[in-house]
Amino acid sequence: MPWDVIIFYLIAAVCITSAVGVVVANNPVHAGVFLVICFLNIAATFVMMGAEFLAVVQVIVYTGAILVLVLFVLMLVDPDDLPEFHTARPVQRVVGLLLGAILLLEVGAAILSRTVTGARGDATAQNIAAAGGNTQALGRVLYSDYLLAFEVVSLVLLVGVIGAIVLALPERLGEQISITRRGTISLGHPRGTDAALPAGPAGETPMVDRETPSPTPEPTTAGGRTLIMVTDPDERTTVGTRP
Amino acid sequence: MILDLQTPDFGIALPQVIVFGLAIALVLLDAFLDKAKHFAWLTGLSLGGYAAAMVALVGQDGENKSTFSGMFVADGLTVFFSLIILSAAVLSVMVAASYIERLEGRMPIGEFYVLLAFSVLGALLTTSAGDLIMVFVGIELSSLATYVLTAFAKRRLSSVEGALKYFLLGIFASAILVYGMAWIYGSSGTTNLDGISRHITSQIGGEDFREPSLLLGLLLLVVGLGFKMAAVPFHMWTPDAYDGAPTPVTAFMSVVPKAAAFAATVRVLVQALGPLRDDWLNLIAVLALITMAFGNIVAISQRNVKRMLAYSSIAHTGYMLVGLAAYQGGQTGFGTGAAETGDQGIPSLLYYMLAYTFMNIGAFAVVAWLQHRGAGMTLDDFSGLATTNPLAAAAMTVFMVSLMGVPPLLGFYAKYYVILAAIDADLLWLALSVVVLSAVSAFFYLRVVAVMYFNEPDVQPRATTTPLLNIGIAAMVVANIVLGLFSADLTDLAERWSDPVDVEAAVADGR
Repeated sequence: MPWDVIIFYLIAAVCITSAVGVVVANNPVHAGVFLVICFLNIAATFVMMGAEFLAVVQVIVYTGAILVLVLFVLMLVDPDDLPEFHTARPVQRVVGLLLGAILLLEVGAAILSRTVTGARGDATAQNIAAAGGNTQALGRVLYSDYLLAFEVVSLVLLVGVIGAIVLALPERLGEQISITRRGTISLGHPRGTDAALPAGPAGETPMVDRETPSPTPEPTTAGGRTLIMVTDPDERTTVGTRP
Repeated sequence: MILDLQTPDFGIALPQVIVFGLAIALVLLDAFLDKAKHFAWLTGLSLGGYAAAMVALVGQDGENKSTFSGMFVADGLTVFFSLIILSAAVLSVMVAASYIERLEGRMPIGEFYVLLAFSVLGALLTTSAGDLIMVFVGIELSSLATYVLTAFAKRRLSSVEGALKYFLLGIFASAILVYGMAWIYGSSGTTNLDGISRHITSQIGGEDFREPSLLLGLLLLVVGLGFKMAAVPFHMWTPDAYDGAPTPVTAFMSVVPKAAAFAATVRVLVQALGPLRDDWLNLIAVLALITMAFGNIVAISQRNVKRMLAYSSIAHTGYMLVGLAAYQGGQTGFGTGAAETGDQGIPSLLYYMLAYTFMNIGAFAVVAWLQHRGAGMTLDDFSGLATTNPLAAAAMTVFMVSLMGVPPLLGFYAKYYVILAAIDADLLWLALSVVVLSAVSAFFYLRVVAVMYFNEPDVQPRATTTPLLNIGIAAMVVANIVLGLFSADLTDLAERWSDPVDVEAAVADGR
């Protein structure tokens, strides 16, 4: 058996093992580390296929940036706050495993018995060399044939950024309250919970009634400092913004 | 070697370019405009932008060209689905404007319009995709914006819950979809839809043929697209997401992402995998039956009108799938004159989608109208609406009866064409189940009407004015009553869905 085949099977074995580890690991940090190993091995297979640029991107973007970020977040979160894993009912687990096994069988059968092969593209070794290497060849294709898709992907990223801002921005606090808050201890501006909103009729999703203003909270003093008890997230959000 | 860049033909992509420009303009205006002017300006700009794109559709009609190296195709299917999506966008803006501004603690209206525009753009790009990559990217753009819109009432836990379920299951479906695309690419060596069709045809050579790798790819694609269009058994996210989202967003996401999913399905199954027609037709027929049955039967037990409408929209997905299952065109997909082969399946699907837009957004608009007046979304909140506000009750009645499919209204014509197409395709059992399940659906649609007319009002509704919403509801009522009379024009337009587009000539031409 030639060396490159042996190396490929070694890499593939480690890759699959670590991929299983991602799913099986109880501790999410362990799962993240398994994912790093998996991605590094995928990068190695890219190198073996002669796609050096993809390998480098795989390491820099996925392993370097995204997974490190994921691990950071996981380590910042209190382990007790993390959701319980493997709490699915036994029936669900059995059915899930069964369906997964069937899919695996289907994929295996499709790989072993396929007769149709795709038409070969023009990315031969000579053409790539003529274009000036792997990276140049990819760049050429990306900015000519796949220009539209490339641009739309950038829009997807833009939507992701806007969406993250919309969802993560705490509240549209007016200037007044941000000034007030500077000098006081805010008792946890309650937000994102149904309990803080006035309850509607039973069985109905609570709606905010903006037209009947909730009573302004009385400032209380505790330990010599003024505290503002904010009960309703709506009462201050309109201050200083739209009339 | 100098990079040989070609200028794409933006002219034939004018409606899409306008919506793109609108989205970018909204982002910038939202940042720089005086806060007091936000509402009027951004609403006006959105309405104007979508209207301009609809006007530009007239120019796109009949062009039948492709550009961006075959990635973008402007044919009959593009035009008809774009018409549906842009109508839905205009109506969604009308329904949403005052809701977003006033209810649920004032959601940021600028971001709302921006995300709406991007979702519309993604759906438009899906309908005009000439390539598997564009199908995927378009669906993703549309879905991603819709995930955020679902969580827009982020103080309400149910909104965040619905969005999370939608998001997790949605990206799971995307992964399945892209895996299916990878299999198809591996078996054909190209991502161009016509190229796939040609390659598979050449491999088959006209024989009866079962290729496991292609079938697996087909299966994964159907599962992924089934998730996006909320077909049973891939519908699990639908009730929670529809119920949790702010009502105008529900109206929007029950139409636009669904239209995008159906456009993608027609593109992928008919255009690219036309040679495998015999394999997917049965699959779709079974999917249609269980989707219709499940949606209609589960909707009966719902007391929450928004949830009931969610299940009803699942049922309507089933009716539209019947149209797809009745596809009779040639195996080589587009441009082979499906009209000559007497295919009525796809035109009936297109017509149904258009009718569904006006019925379904209308129903959600009345729910939003009631929410403005302090009511909730349960059946009890509708009680006695005919006494307190006869016009709103009449509008709701029109939408309910139209969703049910009663003769003079638009919903009837839509169902009629679907049933006709099914009978034409020798799918008598499917046509019969459409009729039977429509009768079942009468129960929960008419219950709303009965509650409005025969029950006593519980509370007097709060007085507010919602001019834009009222205009929107009135427009949809008129559309439901009148549009059925222009069915011939609409079906003519729908029948041109498979106009031939010579992608290769365009690519060779340098466009």
